[in-house]
Amino acid sequence: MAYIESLIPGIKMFIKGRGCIIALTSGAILAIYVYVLESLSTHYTVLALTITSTISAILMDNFILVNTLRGLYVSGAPPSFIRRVLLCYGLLISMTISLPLIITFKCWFKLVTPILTFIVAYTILTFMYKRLSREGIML
Amino acid sequence: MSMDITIWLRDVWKTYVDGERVVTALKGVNLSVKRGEIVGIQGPSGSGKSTLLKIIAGIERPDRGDVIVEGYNLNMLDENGLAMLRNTVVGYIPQDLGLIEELTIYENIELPLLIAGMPRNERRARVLSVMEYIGLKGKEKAKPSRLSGGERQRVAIARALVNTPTIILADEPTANLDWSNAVKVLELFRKIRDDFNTTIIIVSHDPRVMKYTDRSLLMCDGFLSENKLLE
Repeated sequence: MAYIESLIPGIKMFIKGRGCIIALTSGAILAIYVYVLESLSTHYTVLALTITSTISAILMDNFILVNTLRGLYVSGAPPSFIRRVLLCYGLLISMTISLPLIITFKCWFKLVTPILTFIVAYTILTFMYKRLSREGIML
Repeated sequence: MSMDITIWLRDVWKTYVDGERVVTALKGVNLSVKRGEIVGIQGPSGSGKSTLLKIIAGIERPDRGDVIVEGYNLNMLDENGLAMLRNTVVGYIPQDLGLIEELTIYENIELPLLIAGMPRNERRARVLSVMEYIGLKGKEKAKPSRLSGGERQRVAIARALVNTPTIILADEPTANLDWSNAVKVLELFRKIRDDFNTTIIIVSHDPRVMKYTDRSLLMCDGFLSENKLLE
C-alpha cells in the first residue's frame, strides 16, 4: 500500500500537467495516420514520430516536473523514491501516446510502440533529474 | 562535544566555480548550536548564509571541514543517509518555500510522512494536528497559489514540522512578507521552540529579525562571527 501511495506525486504530475493532453492528441492523430495510410513506411514514420511526441509531452511538463522534484527533495525523498515517481509519470505518458496506436498498428508494431515510448520517456526524465541534481537547481 | 550541542561545524570551507570565477562561499566556518536555541544569521546577499544552511541540511557537501548534526557526521553519509536526515532530523524551509503548486496544502504537508512510509490513518491525524497548531485548519483542500504570503510560509513551516524534527532551518523566512506578517512567523518559531524544544536557525538579511533570536551571528564574505551590529 505504501508503495502505491508513493506513486501519488507522479500521478498528480501527469493529471495536472499539459503533457497528458499533448500525449493523447499526438497518439490519436498518429493512430489516424496509421489507419488511413496502411503502408509499412508509414508505420515506421509514425514510430519515429512517437519519439518526438513523447519528448514534447515531457518538455511541456518541465515546470511541474522541476517543481515536484524540488518539493520531494526538500521533504527528504531518497533518490529511489524520486526515481519511482518519475517511473510512474513516464509510464503514464508513454501509455497515453501508445494506447491509440496499439489499436490501429498491426503485427509487431503493437508491442514495440509502448516499449519504445517508455524507454524514451524514462531516459529523458532520468537525464532531467541528473542534470537538476548536478547543477544544484534542486535548491 | 557536549550532549547539549545539536549542530557542530569545524573549519568548514566551500568553493563554487562560477564560469571562470572561483567563489569561496565559506572560509573556515566554526559553529556550535545548543538544543532548543534560536540562532539568527544575518548578512548581506552573497555572504554565504544560504550555503551554510544548505550544508547543515545536507543539501550541499563542504569541500573541507566537519559537520555534525544530531550526532551524524554528514561527511560519512551517502545520498540516502542525507535524505533520511532531511526527512526526520532536519526540517528545511528554502527561501522560495519549495511547495508543490499542483498538490493541495494537505498533500504538501503530508509529503514527508508519505516518504517516511507512515500508514494513512496515522498520517491524516498527524497532518491535521499540525495544521491546527500552525493555524491552517480548514484550508486542507486549498492550493498554495490561493494563499497569502504569510499562509504559504506557514505551510512550509508545517511541512518542516510534521515529522517532528529536532532542528528547523529557515532561509529568509520573512523576505517576502510585510513586517506584521513577518512578526507572526517569527513568533511562531518561538512558540515551536518553546513547545517542542526545537533548535532553530534563521537566516536573514533583515537586522530586525535578529531581535526574535536568542543569539545573533554575522556572516560576511564567507566568515562567521558574533553579531556586534545589534549592540
